[in-house]
Amino acid sequence: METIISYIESLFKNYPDTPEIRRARTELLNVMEDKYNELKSQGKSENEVIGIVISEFGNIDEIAAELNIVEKTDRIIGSNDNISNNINNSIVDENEIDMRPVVSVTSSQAEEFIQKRIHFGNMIALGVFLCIISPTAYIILDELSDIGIISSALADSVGMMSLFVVISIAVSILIFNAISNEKYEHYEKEKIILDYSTKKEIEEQAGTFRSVFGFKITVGVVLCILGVIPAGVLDEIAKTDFMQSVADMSAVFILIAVAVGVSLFITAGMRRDAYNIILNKEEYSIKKTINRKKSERIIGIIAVIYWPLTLVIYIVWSFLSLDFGVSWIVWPIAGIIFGSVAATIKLIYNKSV
Amino acid sequence: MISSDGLRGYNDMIILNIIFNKPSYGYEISRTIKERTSDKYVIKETTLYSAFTRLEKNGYIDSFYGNETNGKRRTYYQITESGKTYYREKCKEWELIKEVVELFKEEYI
Repeated sequence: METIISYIESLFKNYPDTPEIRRARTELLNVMEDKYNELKSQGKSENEVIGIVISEFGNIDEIAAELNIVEKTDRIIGSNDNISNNINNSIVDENEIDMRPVVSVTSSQAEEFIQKRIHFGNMIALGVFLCIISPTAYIILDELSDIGIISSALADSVGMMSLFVVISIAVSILIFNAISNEKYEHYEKEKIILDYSTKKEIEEQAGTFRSVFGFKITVGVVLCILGVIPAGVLDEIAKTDFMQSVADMSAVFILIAVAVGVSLFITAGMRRDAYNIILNKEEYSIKKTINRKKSERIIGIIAVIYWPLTLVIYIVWSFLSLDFGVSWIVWPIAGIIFGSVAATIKLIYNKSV
Repeated sequence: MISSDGLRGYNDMIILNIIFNKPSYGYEISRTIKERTSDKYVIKETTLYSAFTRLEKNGYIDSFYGNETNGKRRTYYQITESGKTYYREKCKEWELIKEVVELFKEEYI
């Protein structure tokens, strides 16, 4: 009987431990035991009985199909380390499990993906850059009209126009590229298999890029911080009215510095993402995908509430103060707050790995 | 000897027939099938168990634990009213199938 028990245990080994499975196992063991005892009482030999009992047992898959349960799959190919990733594919909420399909990617496909991603990053950076500096012309013109060089009517109209023109160009770039990039998005949702040489090559590229990444981020941060300095300095040393106006225009410096800094963040980040996606590393790795999905879901929910709210605040403030030249500041501030919140959420979830 | 596959769709009917008048348990049911068909149909235990699960899910049978002398808890299955209705429908279906298939059975093939 021991043999039969071990046999049945081994068949159930790869199935998840749910109440239904446990009940099935117990029932089947009972039936097999009954059969064993009766055949033995008929005088058959131990071996004969075991043979009959096992041959009449059947296939666990039948039961699993009935209970809608699937075997654990053993190994996810695609990483050169020999860790066996035991992914439990059973009846659980998809957001709890990494159920991404496994996909084989050729060397040229991988290259193409990376190039397109980098280009996408550059375009997004451009769009955001334009968004950030869009009020520049308006600010300068506004100042000039304050000093009296041009009429305020001219300043307002041309200024507003330039603002909206630049923003529409920026938004078109962002939308167009987001759509063009859609066909490469599937890589984010797959476990990628690469052949050994391609993988090594890309890992090398990613390695060399790591230092460039650090450099870009550092420069970006420095720019954002230093961008404020001209404004402060000029304000202090402004002696004449003209100088004072120049000082007031230094908001422009801040905008440009921040715009360049943010572009650096974006391009560096996108390229790092490209490598991580194709190599299934960091937040695209199996372990972290689940956390990433959770954090992305939460961030998505926050965004849906946050941005419309910000828009309302902006519009109300703008029309109450009738000073678009000031209320625009809502957007960069909102962006920074949102970015920090999103980053914090991701950090919290990634820590819980 | 028929494979479990051959009678797919009629395992339910077979089980319901056996427990129509009196509840029974797993091994007794599988043994009855084997003996009544004189070994022509030996049902696999997993097939049987899946059938029990399915029948119970659809409300055609109920299960309960009987207390055996040796203290082991054995699962008994008994038919329900809707189970009896389902059984009769299956019998009619089988008559129909027999009639149809017979039209394509020739002696000389």
